Amino acid sequence: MLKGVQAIPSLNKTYSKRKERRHDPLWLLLLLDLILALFIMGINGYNWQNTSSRVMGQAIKALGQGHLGSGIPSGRGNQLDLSLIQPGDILLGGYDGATYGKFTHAAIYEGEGVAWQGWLSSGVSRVRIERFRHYDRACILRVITNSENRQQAVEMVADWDGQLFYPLAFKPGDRVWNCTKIIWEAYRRLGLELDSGHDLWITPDNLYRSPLVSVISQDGDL
Amino acid sequence: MQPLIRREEMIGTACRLLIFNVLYAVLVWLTTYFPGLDLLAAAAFLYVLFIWSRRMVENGMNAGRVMATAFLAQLPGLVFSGLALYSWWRYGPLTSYFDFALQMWHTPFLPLLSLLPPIRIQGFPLYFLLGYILSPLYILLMGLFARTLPRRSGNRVKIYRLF
Repeated sequence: MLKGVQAIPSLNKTYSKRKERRHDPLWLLLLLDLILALFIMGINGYNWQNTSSRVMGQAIKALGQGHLGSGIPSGRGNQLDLSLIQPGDILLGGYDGATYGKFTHAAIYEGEGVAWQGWLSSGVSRVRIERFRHYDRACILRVITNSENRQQAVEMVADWDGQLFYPLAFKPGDRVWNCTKIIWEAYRRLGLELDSGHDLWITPDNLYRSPLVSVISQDGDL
Repeated sequence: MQPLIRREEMIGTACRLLIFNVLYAVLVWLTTYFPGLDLLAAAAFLYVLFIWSRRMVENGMNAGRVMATAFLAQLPGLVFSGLALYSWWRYGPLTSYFDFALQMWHTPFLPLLSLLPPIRIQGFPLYFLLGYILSPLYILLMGLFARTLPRRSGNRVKIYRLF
């Protein structure tokens, strides 16, 4: 004998639909996303007090101001002194209005006017350093270590030639890269932690603020 | 006699597939924090698509309708591909926001793409070029999955309703 809502066909149908909706895998997937996101944030020390000062908080704030992506070029470029650059040095460039900081791109100098970068349409690849002249602000950073270490870092990045670029790549793992992660990981393997933010991602700004680098040259609004 | 699938049901299923793609993209992106788990998540994505397409066949769709549903679900990917290619044709080989959006859309396949050999064709990495054809491949894959078993066969293993 049927009891309760099951006794009335129309109510039974509504009840079944509600039950189905409650167990909808799409809701479960959304829940799983949220749990995993909170877990990753939790193990990286995110909390209500510090989120606004970290990469995610800054990105959310920038997005709120309408700053989406890598910024808008003004067209004026920069006058960075590229003659000072040495192998293993880090090149940073950036435009105003970016989501994730003053600098939006990074590369590691190999020599003879060529640097290694991570780029969406070319993966981990070589780039002419003159390309950094287009940025509204740019700088050259030198990691405070010996030249052998700097050369080793370049060779390590060169080994990742052609590998996959993903702009939102997290720090762990060595299959998915972005422009800053290749540099950070190469120096990290040599015992040099360049991430001044100790965050989920490594951003060009965090490299700029690292106490393990010195600014060799810079130009633009910084 | 096969039950008729109404257009509204097809659109409804396509919307659910589209939402699934977005939510799963977030999941795969988060699992890349734990290298290895992302590969498992990507494999599970293909498995869910397989189950889903067979479920659609069970509900009376033929392979053509399954592909039409997958086409609707992949419209964002197809639009991003089209706009990115148009941008290349119009303005030259400059990476546009459409390339970025396309990569975000295809994040569920990201771990599998990361396993590809780092070879280049005309200077572009294989993973990047594949991004343009992933949506059509997805549609074909759904059609292929739908054809893996004969419709209404009496002795096939029961697949419980997942989606």
